[in-house]
Amino acid sequence: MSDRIELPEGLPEAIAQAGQDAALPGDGSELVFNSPWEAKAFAIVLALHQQGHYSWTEWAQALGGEIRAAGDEDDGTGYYLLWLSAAEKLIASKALVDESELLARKQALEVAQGGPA
Amino acid sequence: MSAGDDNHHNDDHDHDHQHANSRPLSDPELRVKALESVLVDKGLIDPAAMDALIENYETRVGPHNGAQVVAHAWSDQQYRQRLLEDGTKAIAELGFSGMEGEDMVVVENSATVHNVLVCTLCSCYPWPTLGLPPVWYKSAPYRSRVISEPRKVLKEFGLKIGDDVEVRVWDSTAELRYMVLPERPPGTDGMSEEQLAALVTRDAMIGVSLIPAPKI
Repeated sequence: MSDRIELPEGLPEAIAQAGQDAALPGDGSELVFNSPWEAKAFAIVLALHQQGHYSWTEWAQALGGEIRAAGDEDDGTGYYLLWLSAAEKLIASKALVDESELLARKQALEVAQGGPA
Repeated sequence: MSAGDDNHHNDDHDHDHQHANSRPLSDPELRVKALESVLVDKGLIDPAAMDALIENYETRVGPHNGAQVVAHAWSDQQYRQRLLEDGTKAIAELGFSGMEGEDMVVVENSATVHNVLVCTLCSCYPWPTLGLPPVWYKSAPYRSRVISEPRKVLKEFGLKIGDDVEVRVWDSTAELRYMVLPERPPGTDGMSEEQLAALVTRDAMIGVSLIPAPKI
């Protein structure tokens, strides 16, 4: 019997991979963040919490809400997209940043890079 | 999206600069950048502090910390006792504390009990000792199935739990997080803590694998 059994009911392939060599940092087998924006989104949420803008329980509820909404299709790979959406909503609900301000900034960035006119 | 996709070559340090020929930023990149720049303008976040946070989680916080805790517990019965009685305090003795590690409960595997962790609500996980959770830990199938059919899920990880062993599934929350103290494998008598720590894997501390006896 091989020690890595096939995954019948849709446990993501990532399980097979991750299970294979329980990655310890430094062995290079798993990245903490897949791209810089994920790290940034992560750090924004931590930094604002550390300054007392919301409790960690409030954050867990916000993130949990996004994750629940994503439902059974959520294979964990889009985790930081859910994280980002939860962050945008919580930050808006705490009135730290105005949603329209955020949108305007995003559009300005798009224009600056020659994006959608 | 996989680690090998187009985003990947963007991982280097000049990712924030727009070069004449660089590809346009993706939607999430734009959203994060907009959020960050507005927050910085308002003085709500400090870019240097953000970089320090990221560096901390990319390099210093990870399962090598938990491995030290486990190795110390295997080597020192009194520490093991303290760890099981007050996980947070005993883990802090070794210098590991902070976000998502405030209320730690360490659960011990034995010949009769096997423990496994999940967070059904979202992705709560003991950051100071295990780092950030792997992708599969955050997936909907793992979160739901490890509760409903733990033995089957463990088998898919290659771990067959005997019928005489009780499987306990611990559901983490924002207030309370768990870590598994795996069984010390045979053939490790006389090993130093450092040698022992090198045997300890992240997955064993989540409870989806055991620590095999070292190859001689």
